[in-house]
Amino acid sequence: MSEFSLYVNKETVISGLDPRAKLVASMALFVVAMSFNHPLYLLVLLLFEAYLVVASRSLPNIRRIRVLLLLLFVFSAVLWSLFLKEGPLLLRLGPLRVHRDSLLYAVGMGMRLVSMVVTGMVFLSATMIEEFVFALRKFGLPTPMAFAFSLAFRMVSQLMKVAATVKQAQQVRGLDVDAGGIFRRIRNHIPLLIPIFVFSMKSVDSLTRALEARGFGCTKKPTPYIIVLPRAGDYAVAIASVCLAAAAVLLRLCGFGEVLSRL
Amino acid sequence: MAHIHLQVRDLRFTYGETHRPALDAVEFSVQKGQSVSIMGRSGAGKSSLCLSLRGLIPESYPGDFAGEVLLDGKSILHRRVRDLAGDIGIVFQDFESQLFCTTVELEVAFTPQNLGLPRDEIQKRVSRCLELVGLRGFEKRDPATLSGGEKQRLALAAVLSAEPRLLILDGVTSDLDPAGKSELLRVIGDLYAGRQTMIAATHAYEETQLADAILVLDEGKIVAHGTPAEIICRPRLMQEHGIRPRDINLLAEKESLPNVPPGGAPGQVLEKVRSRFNPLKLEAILDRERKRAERYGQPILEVSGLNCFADDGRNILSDIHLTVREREMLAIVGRNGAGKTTLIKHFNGLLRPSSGDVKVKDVPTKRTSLFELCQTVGFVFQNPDHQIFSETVRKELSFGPKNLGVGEEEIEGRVSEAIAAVRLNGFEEEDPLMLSKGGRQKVAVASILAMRPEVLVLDEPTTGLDYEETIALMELVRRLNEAGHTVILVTHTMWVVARYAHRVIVMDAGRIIADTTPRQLFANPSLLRTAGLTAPEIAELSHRFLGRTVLSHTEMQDCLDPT
Repeated sequence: MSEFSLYVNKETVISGLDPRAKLVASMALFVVAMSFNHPLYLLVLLLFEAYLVVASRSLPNIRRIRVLLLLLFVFSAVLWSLFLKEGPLLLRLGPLRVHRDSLLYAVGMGMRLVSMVVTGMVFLSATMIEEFVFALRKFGLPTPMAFAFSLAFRMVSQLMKVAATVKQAQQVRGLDVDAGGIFRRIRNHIPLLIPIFVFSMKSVDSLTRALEARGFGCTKKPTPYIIVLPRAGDYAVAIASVCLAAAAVLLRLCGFGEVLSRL
Repeated sequence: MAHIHLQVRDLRFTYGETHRPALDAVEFSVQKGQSVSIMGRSGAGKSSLCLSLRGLIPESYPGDFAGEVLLDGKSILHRRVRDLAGDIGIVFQDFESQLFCTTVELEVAFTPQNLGLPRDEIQKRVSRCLELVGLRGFEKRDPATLSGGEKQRLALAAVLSAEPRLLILDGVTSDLDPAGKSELLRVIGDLYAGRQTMIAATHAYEETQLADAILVLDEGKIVAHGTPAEIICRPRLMQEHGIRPRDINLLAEKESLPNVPPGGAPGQVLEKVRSRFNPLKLEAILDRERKRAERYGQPILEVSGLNCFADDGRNILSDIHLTVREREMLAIVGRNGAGKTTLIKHFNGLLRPSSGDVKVKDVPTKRTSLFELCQTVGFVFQNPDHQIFSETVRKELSFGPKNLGVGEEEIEGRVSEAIAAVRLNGFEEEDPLMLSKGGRQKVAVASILAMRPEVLVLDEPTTGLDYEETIALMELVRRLNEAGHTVILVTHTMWVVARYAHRVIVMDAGRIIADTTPRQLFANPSLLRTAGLTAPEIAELSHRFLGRTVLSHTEMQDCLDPT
């Protein structure tokens, strides 16, 4: 259980979809993002995802990670444009050279990463973890594995909360984690890592104990409580998603949507 | 003869890597529909017994195990823990770690799902159990958004949905605020009335009054076994084994009056001493309190018009005005979520005001760094495990001064001084993580003391501590206050407020609704009700029967004329 849960408990068109349809659609959007590296094509994808963000009411979650998204985009755009040397030279900054195609590709890569994170966020905002587990089980993942997967989500957010508390508890003892050079900074994190590690060990122990005590693993086929019966709309979304992914792959194979002929 | 439901025979257990037995020749039986409370100090073996009755010991804990646990005549030892979920349910102290799901409804359905019950049966049980614990209407809520009391009631519902033959409650009220505790105790009261067979481990005698029997454990052995009347009426026995006795019975014993059994009339004790109650003696105590207040120093902490807004724009603190003077001992009380911890985090710059001002020694915290503030305002977090990381107590205590740039020689002096203050002499080279919770809490306090702050802020320092540990910690805090430290304490434990605080700030929904003394607070039933608080028994009774509020049995004795 976590106070950092991403799930938005509101009825929307997207949250009302069968989790399997949502999972297929998310996978399809990943495929589309991976198919193109031209910024214009990825811009179309991002605009579509912006619509999904609004429709799924996951804007607050996107806001929470806006810095991460910005960093992903900037780092990717800067690094790719500096490391690749494709197309005519656009700019020379001392020893650094920026080429046109490399810059377009770099921007595309940044957009691709942002698009994939946004897709994941829309999915998690619109899907309860139990629905996610339901979908994974329906796709053939064994129950314990599917449940472990969902537990990992919870543990991460619980750890984030504890890490914030531990950081405060050490800050009030005068610790400045950002003080000094790189090695000193690494050393500064030891007072944070040990309590977090100890907490994690204790949490895993308590969790295992509580799960066992509540009969987890008692039967290989626990009764499904959430039963989602796919409706025509869910089939339509799943089929449309698969078609979209196939079309994207086909377009790319025909040479559309690429700045450079690499992935 | 009634049917014996649970039988424990010669139960012994020693955890791996230790030599002292956690359980030593424990034997008792419980009849169907009966309930037994297990009491004792921390480390007496209460949790070990609960884990053994649930089968978690020996399956999940390595160690030397011997003995037998029989449920309806059949040993549980050869059955896997998970397979016992439909027969024996257990609710743990830490409610956070036993909730896994994203909605209340799914949480309650989890155990019956694992038992493979039909879906319509699960739905019926979910509905019934949520009704029982008073959480109907919460079905779609995320458990993370519930209060502590609601979470623990949810954990109880999640276990009851398996309809276990035996229910074990292991310190379930320990981490709750008074309002959460009373909500949970009401539900547990209903279970007693419904004759649910129950074993409940607890520190608090108030929670044992409806039980059919009490077992007192010490060092893993049963040292007393009797009805609540037989145990609670023996305050010395309770004290001897680290359990907080009932104040009214301590008074009765000192005055050679009959003890008050659960359900008895405690007022009778006060009726009997009424003729000897001397208001002038109480006046003398009040006079000493007034003189103490006159000796307070300059304002050290000033809060004016403080507001704190959450990311979603919600107001967590509204228009807080507060002045704390040097050498005050201030308690901040109120429900969970009232804003207590948010407020105290403004005192040392962990949080900055959204609007308004917080000044420490006349300097606004907005203009001071956390590093500078922590040298004046020391902050002890609720859970000592959130800060302990060193391999020895000495190193843990030197961490703060070292960060402040204090020289090696002075650090040595400060560490020795802090160790002496918390009375941890002899433990300098011990691994702090291996100490008891009370010991770890002392290390946390000492590690802040070594930084020599003038103000000491403690966030629920007694949570999870037993009576003796609480007394030891609070006596330490009292000594520090008498030595000149200003103390600000957030707590849910009202007898601690009664005995130790000079002044109380009562918070509700992000506002200060009263700035008063413990005596005035406990004489004000409507304020207590509004803030979800309960007065200590002796304070409530003295107010009712003598028209004056007395804060403890020792204070009451001080107010009595000799016979």
